[in-house]
Order: sequence, then C-alpha cells, then structure tokens
Amino acid sequence: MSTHRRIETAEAKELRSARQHFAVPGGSHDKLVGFLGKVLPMGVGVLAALMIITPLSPRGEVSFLLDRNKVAMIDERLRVENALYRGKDDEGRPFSLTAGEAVQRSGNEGIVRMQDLVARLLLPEGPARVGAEAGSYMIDDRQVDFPDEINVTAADGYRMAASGVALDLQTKKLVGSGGVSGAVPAGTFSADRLEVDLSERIVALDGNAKLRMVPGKLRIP
Amino acid sequence: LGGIQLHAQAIAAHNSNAPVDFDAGRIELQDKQNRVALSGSVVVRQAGLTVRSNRMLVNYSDAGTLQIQRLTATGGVQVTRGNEAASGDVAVYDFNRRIITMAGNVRLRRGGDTLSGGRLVIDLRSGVSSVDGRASGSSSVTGETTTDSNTGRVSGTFSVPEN
Repeated sequence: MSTHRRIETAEAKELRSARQHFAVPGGSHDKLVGFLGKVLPMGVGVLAALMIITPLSPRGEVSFLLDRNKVAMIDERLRVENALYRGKDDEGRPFSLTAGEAVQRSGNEGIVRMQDLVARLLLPEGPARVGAEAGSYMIDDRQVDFPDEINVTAADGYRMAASGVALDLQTKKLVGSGGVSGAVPAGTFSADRLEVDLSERIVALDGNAKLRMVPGKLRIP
Repeated sequence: LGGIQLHAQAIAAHNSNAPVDFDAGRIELQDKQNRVALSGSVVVRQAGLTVRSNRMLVNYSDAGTLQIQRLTATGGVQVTRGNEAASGDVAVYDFNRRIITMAGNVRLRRGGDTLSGGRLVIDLRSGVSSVDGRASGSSSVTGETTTDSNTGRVSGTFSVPEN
C-alpha cells in the first residue's frame, strides 16, 4: 500500500466526485480494506484456537450451580405441607396417611409428627377413615400414636371415638394402654387397656373396664 | 307346681330401659355379633337392680335403636334389688319380658324371709319372685344336676309380724 503524496493539481482534486473520492487509492476505503486484510486472518486463528481449547476446560459442564449457603434451609430432616403417605398393610391392601403438615425432626428417629391427620384404610366392608388432630407416625413399625382423641368412621356408618390409643396400620388394630376411653354406637366405655380389631370390630377392654349402654337410643359418637 | 307365690311388698316396677352400667375386669364388645362378653367379677347396675357374677354375656340389637335383648350371667350370680337378694349359679335377665330367671341352688332373701329351691323367677314388672323346685333336678340352663339334698323341694323360712 503506497503512502507517498499524490501529484495532482488543486483543480483536478475539486473536480473529482464523491464516489471518486471514496475510491481514490490510499483513501479511507483502501485503509479499511488493508486493515481488514490483516485483522480477519488473525481473527480466524483466534477462533480456531478457542474452538479447540474451550471444550477441554472443566467449566463447560456446570449448567446450574446450587450454592448450599444461599438456598433456603430447614433444620428438620423432612417437612411436608399437606403430605400424603401411602403404604400396604398385612393383607397387602393399601392404606394412606394424609396430614396438613408432616415434620420429621431428625434422620435417626423414624418418627414423623403430623398435624390434622387422616388415615384411610380398607376394611372388609369398605374403606374406613381415622381422623385426629395430631399424631406421630413410627415409620418402621407402621404405627401412628395419637396423643388425644381420634374418631373412626367405617363404611356403613359404624363410628368410634377413642382417646389415648395408637393405630397399628399393619394389623389394622387400635391399641391403647394407660387409661383409654371412647364411644361406639352400642355405648361408651373406658378401661386401662384396649385393643380394637377394626376389621372384626371387636373392642377388647382390660383392667377395670366400664361400659355404659343406654337402651332405646343409638348414640353415634 | 310347687312354686309358692311370694306377694311382694311395694317394690316399684323396674324400668328396663334405664341405662345399664357394666363394670368388669375384661369386656369384649363384639359388634358384628351384637354381643358383649364380660368376665372377671362383673357388676351390672341398672336403676336399683344390681347383678354380680363371674362371667356375663349381653345380647343386644342395634337395628334402629339400641335394644338389649338378654343378659346371661354365670358363675356365683347375686341379684340384689331393694331389700331382696337372690343368689344362684346362673341367671338370665330377659329385658323384653322383664323377668330374671335364676337356676342352680337358688337362695332368695327378702327382709327376714328366705326361700331356696331349684329355680327362681323374679318378675320385675310386679316385683313378684316365685321359687319352684320343678326344674331343680337338672337346671335347663346349665345342664348339670344340682346336688342339694331336697331336690325338687322348695324350703323357706318366714318371719310373721307379731302386731
């Protein structure tokens, strides 16, 4: 690309039109093309180098980075809002536990504490529902402990209310000790110990058991 | 009929629909068979009537409303009501006919008077208790023969007021 001054008269310079000014050798266009002629091959080289190097660098795989300190942490092991837990009892029939809120404090204690809990299980004459304010579910022995009252409603309207009992979901039995009380259509009862077989509907009370039946009135607890 | 009708003083008619309270060592409520099995020093109270026994079986029906059909008490049964106390081996309280039938060396005490024999029927409506020796040979309810010496006879002692 020559850089010496051009030899021409001043008049020849004014007569040139804009297009001729643009195309004059050594003008702005020539400089641009000259510059590009040098830069572009270098750009190709850099691009080729990048395309070889970047796949090898480890940074490439991380598509989504979760930072432990920034994410919302709960100190319990498990906290579920309106939880649903499904399992099978001895005869292989499903049961389900739904709870407004289920919390498992730590890994080594297999107890899930639940609020306004409903257990649904299948009895011979149809589904039954056990409702309670609170309950704690022992995962390994599939037993739900109820600190206070529960009520059981079976398919054909059979109802039972009891307090101080625990529900064994495997054998579908209610067991209670240390003072239980409750009511069934036939009457109201209280005793030291209790074992209710929900499928056979047998309420076995032990230890100064008391039962009160009022003929003439079928009380639905 | 060797039964002696013992005219009751004014024992009020018993209300068989009053609430029944059971108290026992062990109670088993079998809802499907509409039955309650009680054992271990059972005490049943209903409006002034008390039945004590070792074991008891209650049959009830809960079709529309709860209706107790029958109470079968076995093993050292004592029925007390007002000043009347009866003891025997077996007692059946029929709620519908409102009578208590006792069998097996029955002894009835009312006030100062006593009566013993094979079988006792207490009619809760009229308060009349009648003892007869007819079935004492083999009490139909328990099936074994009673062993008291004067089988078939009724014996009693009465205190006559001296006014």
